[in-house]
Amino acid sequence: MVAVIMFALLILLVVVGAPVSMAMAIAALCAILFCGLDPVIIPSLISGGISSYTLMAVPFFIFLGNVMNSGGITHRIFDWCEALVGHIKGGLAQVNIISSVIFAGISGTAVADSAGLGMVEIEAMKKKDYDISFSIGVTVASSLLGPIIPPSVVLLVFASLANVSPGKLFMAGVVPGVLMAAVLMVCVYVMCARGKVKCPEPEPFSAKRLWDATKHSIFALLCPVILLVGISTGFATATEVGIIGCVYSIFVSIIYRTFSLKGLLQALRDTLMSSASIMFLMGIGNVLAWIMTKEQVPQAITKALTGMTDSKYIVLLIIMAILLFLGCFMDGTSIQLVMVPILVPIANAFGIDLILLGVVVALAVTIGAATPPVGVCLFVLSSVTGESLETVVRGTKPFYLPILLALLAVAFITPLSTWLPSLLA
Amino acid sequence: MKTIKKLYGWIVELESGIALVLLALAIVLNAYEIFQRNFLGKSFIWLQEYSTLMLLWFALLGMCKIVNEHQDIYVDLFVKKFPKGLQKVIDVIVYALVTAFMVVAIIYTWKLFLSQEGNYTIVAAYPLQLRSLALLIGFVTMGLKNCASFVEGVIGLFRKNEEGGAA
Amino acid sequence: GGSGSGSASSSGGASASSAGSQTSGDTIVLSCATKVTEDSFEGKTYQHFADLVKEYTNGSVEVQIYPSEQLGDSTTTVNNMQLGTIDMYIEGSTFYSGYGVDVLFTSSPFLMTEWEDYLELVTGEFGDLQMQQMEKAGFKMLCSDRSWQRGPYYVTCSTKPINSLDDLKATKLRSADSAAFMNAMSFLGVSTTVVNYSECYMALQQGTVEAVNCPVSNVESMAFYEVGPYVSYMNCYPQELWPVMNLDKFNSLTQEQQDALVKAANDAAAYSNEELYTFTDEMIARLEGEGAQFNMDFDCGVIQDALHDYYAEEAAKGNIPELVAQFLGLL
Ligand code: NA
Ligand code: NA
Repeated sequence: MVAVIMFALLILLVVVGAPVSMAMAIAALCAILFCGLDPVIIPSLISGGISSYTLMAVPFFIFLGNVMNSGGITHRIFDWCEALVGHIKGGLAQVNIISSVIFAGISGTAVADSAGLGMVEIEAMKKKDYDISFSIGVTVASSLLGPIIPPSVVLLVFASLANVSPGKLFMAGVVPGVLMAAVLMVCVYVMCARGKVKCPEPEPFSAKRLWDATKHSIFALLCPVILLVGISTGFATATEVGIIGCVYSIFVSIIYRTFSLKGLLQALRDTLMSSASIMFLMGIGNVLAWIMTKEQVPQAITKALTGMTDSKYIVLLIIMAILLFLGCFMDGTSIQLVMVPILVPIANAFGIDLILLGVVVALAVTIGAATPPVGVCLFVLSSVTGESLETVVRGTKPFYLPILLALLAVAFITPLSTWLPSLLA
Repeated sequence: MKTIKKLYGWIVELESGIALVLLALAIVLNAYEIFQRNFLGKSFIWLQEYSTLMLLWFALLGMCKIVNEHQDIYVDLFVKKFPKGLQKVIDVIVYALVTAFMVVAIIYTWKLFLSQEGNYTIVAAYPLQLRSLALLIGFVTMGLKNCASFVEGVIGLFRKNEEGGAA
Repeated sequence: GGSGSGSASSSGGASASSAGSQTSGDTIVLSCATKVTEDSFEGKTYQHFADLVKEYTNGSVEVQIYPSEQLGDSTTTVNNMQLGTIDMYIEGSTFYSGYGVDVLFTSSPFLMTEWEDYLELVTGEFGDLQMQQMEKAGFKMLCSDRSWQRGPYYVTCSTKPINSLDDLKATKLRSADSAAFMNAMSFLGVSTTVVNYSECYMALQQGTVEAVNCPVSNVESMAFYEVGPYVSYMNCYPQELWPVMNLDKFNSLTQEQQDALVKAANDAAAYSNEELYTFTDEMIARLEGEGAQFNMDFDCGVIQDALHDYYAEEAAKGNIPELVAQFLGLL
């Protein structure tokens, strides 16, 4: 009941154009008053939500994106990727996906991907005359690879909540991640081949061009490599590795003579404008999640739905539907905190493999970062590109179906997630 | 009125300046931490708690500038299709609701602030009040802006009606 | 119904605390936050505690458990419990250090290595002092026996065997984010690195650290044995669980209900202590089957002796509560 009122109010306020954070805040306040809770939890939970170690990755990675941008580094990387795979139909859109696969192997969050890479990808696609909403859509869709391909913060959270091995869970994410990338590439290919989106003709492959691009961008290319090495040798944590990127990028832009103090200051300013609102939103989201937990909302939903069936597959479908629905309003970590402890006993009762459940939860929860009205990736790209949320959602729309199909495939073709980890045992 | 607006703008600039310094500081300190951990074999044990505190202030002070410049995240998909007059009425209602929220938030943040007297965090042992203070300053600054927008909106509505009546 | 609601206390949180917990009919429902999952060993004992409360109060009080940090991290939760927006929290004692309670000595590694010594300390004069400090901060510790043991002991999971202090010195050890731990280890000559606990699995796998200290139960639940298969007995801290309640809320209950809550906490503690060692031994057997190597003969006394001078100095500086220092013969 409270949940219905809260969500109705939230949606109404968002529709009439209230800032999303304030719509959430007002809905939360009303729910608090309705339930007779003490409003003092509002400041307490906002500060608790923002003071989170993993959330620090948000400004760090956004700053990394800005620094790499202002130093012209990401452009060089992108030019190189273009020389490598730009000849495939869909050109830069394919490059966009491939670079996200590589970046997913560095970052643990979708936010990091959309913030770190998004700006450059979209700017490059804009320059080459791609449709802006298509460009943003590809970027949003491909940024979802971040938390599926290891390392992944989402999978780590699941592993600790469900008592499963993070190592096995990481391995389980590889195949679904690659599958999703392939699905996206095919999707882009089809969209371009059918002429559904404005998409310049790809240029033919040239070995000389690739060689020149490599020479032109060798220091820039080393940056993702350094991040990869940094995290895989344990030099820095997934949260900190963005900082190493920043330091190296500044160093490289000095080499390329593109460094300026003014540019650095501007990068800081841009970081403030794009990341402060995301962090504030996460704080308010913490209040919403808390109310839902306290009022036992997810439990009630799950109980009602699972009472209807005894089929493992229908239960999986229901679980995915619930997660996707919650993903429209809550951030992934909050959903996991609330739902995983409920889902694990259900999975055990229905004979669902916990590793499989982990990958399904991670995928579903990550898709939530790309679904309106509350989706971090949408917000990041909206503020990073200065385009309206409407444009971002319009561009992402064509990718929802293929992503959902990938999710279904992962859920129902068990070996996709369990085969690789079984090699470990 | 103009002086107050100027003063307000100046305060918001100061706040966003502090936010930038905090962000830069968090980055530099964490960069140094990575360096000293790997090459000197030392660690700042207080760094995580102070970093999250710095970024809490960063987020709240940064929000003041974002709200002041109307750069917040919102969906204008539907509202754009409403007639102009209705849009303005809705805006005023939204400003009123946000202002109401801010008033409640300020009162309860103050309450939280008072209750945290003498409480410290576990590792870095800084007063918990440093956290609620960030919220207090952020909410007051944002609340003032919203309150002003509300008043301006109401005045705008009346002016329009007068003009309409005169024509 | 609460008959003691006449306490219009100055903190303001008191009046709201009755709103924080729901009353359905005649039943008082208390919200209780915990950090662990429902189906973990500790999670099950918390549920047992909740069941006992219901039984002992004839259903007039129910404890609703919110597991897995669902209601927020420890700092937020303890703050909320003080405000009365959460009624209860069951966790370790360190989170009350920020509220003027002498608990930080429990995070000084190897200051005490035997649970029996610890029990003797906290059931004496010092324990009374702690309880006074808790009540002054607005908290009620429910377990009056002080006997709820956690863990039951610490071990070290490492990528290479640790059989002596010298082995430990040659190992990159993960530090808890505590100055006490780092200072003591650096006094011993052990090099430490601060790693977030949730990142320890990866840190072991990637070699950021070569050893991680953890409660023995986490060897399996955090899957540390997969990446650090050498497990040594390393009981650096005695660990006690504190079932704590908002004091105003506690005082608002009838005397019978208060007694029932305390009895339930003590009985749950006894039940947990009984099951804990069986559970642990079964787990160790299971993990040995998967290739983990347990060295339960590691002599922690050697480390404790090596740290004696260090702690004597700390005690002289006043960094260890006087009663504790006297108990340990450091003053
Ligand atoms: Na990743
Ligand atoms: Na991409």
